[in-house]
Parts: sequence; structure tokens; C-alpha cells
Amino acid sequence: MQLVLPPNHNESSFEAALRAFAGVVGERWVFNSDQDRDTYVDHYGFDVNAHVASAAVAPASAEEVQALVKLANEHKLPLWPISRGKNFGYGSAAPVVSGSVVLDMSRMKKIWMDVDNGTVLVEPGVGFYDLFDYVEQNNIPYWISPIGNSWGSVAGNALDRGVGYTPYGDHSDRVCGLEVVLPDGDLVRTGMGAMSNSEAWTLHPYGFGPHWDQMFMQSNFGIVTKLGMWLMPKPETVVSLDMELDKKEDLGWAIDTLAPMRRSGLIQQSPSIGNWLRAAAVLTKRTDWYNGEGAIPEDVISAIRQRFNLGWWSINLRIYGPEEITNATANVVQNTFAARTQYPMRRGLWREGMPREQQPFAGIPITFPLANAGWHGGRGAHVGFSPALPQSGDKAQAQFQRTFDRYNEFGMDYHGSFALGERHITNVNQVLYDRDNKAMVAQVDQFFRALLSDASVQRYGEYRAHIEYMDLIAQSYDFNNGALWRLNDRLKTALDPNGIVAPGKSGIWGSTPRNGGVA
Amino acid sequence: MSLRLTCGKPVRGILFAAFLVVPVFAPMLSHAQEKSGWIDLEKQDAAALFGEKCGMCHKAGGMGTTILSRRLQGEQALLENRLDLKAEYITAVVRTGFGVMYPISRGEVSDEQLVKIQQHLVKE
Repeated sequence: MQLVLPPNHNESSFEAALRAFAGVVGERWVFNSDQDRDTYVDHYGFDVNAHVASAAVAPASAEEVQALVKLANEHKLPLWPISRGKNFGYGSAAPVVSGSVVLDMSRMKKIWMDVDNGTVLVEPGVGFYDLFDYVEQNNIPYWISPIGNSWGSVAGNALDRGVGYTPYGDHSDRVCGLEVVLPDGDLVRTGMGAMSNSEAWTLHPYGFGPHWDQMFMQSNFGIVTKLGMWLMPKPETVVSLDMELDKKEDLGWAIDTLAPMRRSGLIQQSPSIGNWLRAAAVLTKRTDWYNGEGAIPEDVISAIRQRFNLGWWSINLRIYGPEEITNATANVVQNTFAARTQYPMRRGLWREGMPREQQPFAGIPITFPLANAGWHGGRGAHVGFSPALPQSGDKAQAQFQRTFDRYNEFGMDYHGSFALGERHITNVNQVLYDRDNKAMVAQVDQFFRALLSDASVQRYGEYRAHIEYMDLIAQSYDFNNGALWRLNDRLKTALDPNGIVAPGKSGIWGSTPRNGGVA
Repeated sequence: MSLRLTCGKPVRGILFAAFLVVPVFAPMLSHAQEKSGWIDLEKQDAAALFGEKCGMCHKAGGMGTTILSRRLQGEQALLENRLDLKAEYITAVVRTGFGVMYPISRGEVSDEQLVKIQQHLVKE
């Protein structure tokens, strides 16, 4: 990747800034070759040239982050902080503003664990596999909450409000205490961390006064260098309940059946209802089934489903706890479904000592689901579109139909799921495509914008966004002429007058012009 | 156009200063009733580095193994079983990506670590 200079920099001013950065981290941790730039692109994006870093710098500690931020202010150079840069489908490691320097915290891989209380403090570079290995190798009686593709950072995922599949799956809600480098280089700790040497930093989230943890999520108000998180005590048993739903129209009633049990707390994790392509695209390629134009037709879908014994939709839910409780709960869930449908529900029981299900449900990190990105062959890619809906079967069914129709209109294969929160549904749609297929790539942007526009008409907002669409999505949060984003911009301007930390993240620009500040 | 850096000695040695104000310094986790102190999860030896940096995709069940098993026979989908891997090829794939595989930066796997990983994978 050829160098794209930061806004308002020339080669010599840029070189001077990098030289200053090298004085903090050492020359070997400043990366600015063409090949280095290639490693920080949005590899799965449809236009890798749209968002490119000028260089990257990899600090080893919060002190080094502080020093770099102070220098970035002096040199008026925007930084794009990443933890491990694995936010695939949402922009990977790439910055909103081309020419930003990626602040790569992959090397910061320290953890601190309070085993008695089941909490960890992690640096940004700690990935789900790292934490899993640590917990398992030390026989720590807790399970981590991995995500569907687990190569990412524990802290980074929580800060982007990623979700997992255990009862601790709402990761941002399990955060307890942060350490943050502010855009002027100051260092703050939130919650009980604000009291020096408090042992309750990762135990009591609020401390005294305003609670700021959420302020640093999906934002650019600071750079999180340590994150406290609660882990789930290892359950005595897990009961699995899985059901295949035969028809597209089964989505709505299934949601209405699950929702009251989710609200009451009977079901403590977030059950997900996903379509047939989720499994098929991992196990096979599209050309194994179909070579025609447009979306895969229903008769081929039927053949795929038959081969893998899949419904049009599959429900997977899990119940955790002592066996008396998981059994009783599973009975209630099964009886509730039996009153609505003849579809069988498969039931399984895991007990301590048995092999664990190799799935995030059982605290096991995995990466194989993204094999689905190879569905079309070529250099596989994907982008995520993920609106949050009210918890209503009718609304979910209608949202599915609108989305499904759009997929068909654009000749794409529908890949969607509906995960139930306690009061809402997150509808994650993966758009799978082949970056080597120019015609397909050319329409991904239009397709995405159509999905976004449809959702916005319904007043459904995305829970998380790809870097290309952050402004558009921010604009859809439009109450009182975008008052919330005016507030965000005021905060940004106050905290970061030079626009150093991730300008444009989540549509928050502060004093930085919308074009990234190019004069 | 690629800029070259010409700078003085790097400033190092402040790595652990960050943690001096953190409470509780039990030296190392010895059993399940202690707090851990700070532990660096970065691995050192070649096999462990392969596990840390590549294993998530290229051990059994990972994304890379899943995709490779679609076109390679049996055990050959596991990189650690391969006899035909060359160092230059590994570097090219790691730094530029391949198919669904994303490129790996020098921040994530340093050049020195990549050499160790190559030594682990290249069988000659």
C-alpha cells in the first residue's frame, strides 16, 4: 500500500512525527513500509483503499501510550487505536480517516486475575484464546465468554459491545473498571480504580460519582489500556436445547415463545435463531451447490438443508447451573415450546468431567465460523449489518422479509440471525462476498445502504457499525436534529481539541472536519 | 514511496513501571486461591508461539484448517503436519494474507517471532 500522508502533513513533517514516536517505543516498533500498511487494511472490506493507515506504532505499556498521545498532539497527527485489530466485518484494523497512524496495542498482553472473585484486568492485546489458555492451564474455575470468531481482543470486543453466548455474553455489561489514556495524555481509572490501590477495582463497577465506563465504548474519548471484566463461575451442568424450524415463517412465533422466558430470567444466555447458510457456508462452498446467477433458489436451499439436517432456521439455547435447576428449567422451556409446535427439541446434558461442547456456549473459543467467508471462493470477505429491534415476533418476521427481499434483489445469499437480549433483538446479517468478483463488490455498497435505509424507516438502529458507515448510522440517530451527536461532538472537542484519538469513530468528529481535516 | 526512519536510541525499560500502583502482588498464580500479579501472556518458544499466534486458525478445528481441508487431503490441512512449507512462502502468506486469511502485522507477530514460527513449520 502506497503511503497516504496524514491530513495536513507533508513527508518531512510526517517523518518527524514518526521519529518522535520511535523515541518512545524504539525504531523497530514503528511500521511504515508499504507491506506494513497492507497489514492494517480492512482486508474484508469491499474497497481496501478507502481507509488506509499511513503507518503503525506498537507501544508496550500505558506509559508508552501516554507518551505517544502527547507527541501526536504536538505533531497534530491522528491516531487510530486498535487492540488486536480483528474487528472483521466492521473495518478490521483500518482507520476512518486515511493517513491516521494505527496505535497497535497487540503487544500489550498482560493480565491480572483475582481468582477468588472471578475477575480479570486485561490489556488490549489479550485475545480470547490467550485468556482461555491461561484460565484452563491454571485450572481456574471460571469460563470465559468467547465470541463467534474468537481471534479478537477481550477488551476490544467489549469496548465495541460485542456479544458472546454464555450468560455473561453481554460483554460491555460485564466490564468493571477501566484505565484510560485521555486525548491529552492524562491517565484515569474509572470506578473503584479511581481510588489508589483499591482491591475493589474489578469488583464494584461504580465507585463514587458519575460512572464513565460506557463513555469509552464505541467512542473516541480516550484509549483504554486496561479493562476489568467478570468471568462466569464454571457451571456444574449445561443443558443444550436445539430445534430446527422448517419454514421461514416460523421465526416470529419462535421469538414470541422465547421472549417471555428471556425477560423472566429463566433463559440467562442470549438464544440465537440463525438460518441454514450459517452452517452450510462453513462446511461447503457455494459452487458445490449452485453455479447460477442471483441468490440460491429454494430448491437448492432444500437440498442443502436436507444434506445437513437443517431447518430454514435453527434455535440453539443453553441452560447453566446445578443439575436440579438446569433440568427443571429445560423442562419448562420444552413444555413451553411443545404447546406451540410439533417440531422436536433435541436435549443434551453436559456434566463436569465430560468433554465440553467445542462452542462458545461452553466457553470454548473458535474461529471456524468465518470459513463461511470463503462461500463464494476467491478472496472471501464479509461485512456486518446489525440493527437492534424491539422484541416482537411480528416485527422480527417483517424485518426478516424486508432483508431477505433485499438479498434476493441484489442476488446475494441470505445469512442472518436473531439473538434475543433481555428486552430487544439484535439482528446480525452477514453479507458474504468475493473480493475478486468485481460485479459483486460493486454492488455491496448499494446493498448495504439499502438495508440501512430500510431499517432506518422502521426506526431500527445499528448496534455497531463498519467504519465506512459510521456517519450514516450516527445520522440515523436523529432525535432533535441529532442532539446526541451534538453532545458527543461537544465532548470530543472539549477532551480532544486537536482531534488526535480516532477522529470519525462512531460518527464523532468534534473539531475535526468531516473530510478528516484536509485543509 | 516509503519513508525511512533515522532516529537515535529507543527509550526502553519502562515496561513494568505501569504496574507499580496496582494492588496485590502475589508473585505468580500458584493455586486457585490467590491473585495473580501481572502476567505476560506473550509466548517465547517456537511451538508455543505457533500456538499463540497461528493456532487459533491452524490447529485442529480452526478456520484455516477448515478451509484447507476442503482442498487438501486429511492431515495435510494441519500446517504442523506439512512437509512442503518453505520459509519464504510462510512470510509471504503471513504478511499479505491468502484467500480468507487476513494479513498479520509486525505488531502482532514480529519479524523475530515469525522466524521462530518458520523454524517450527519448515521441515528439512
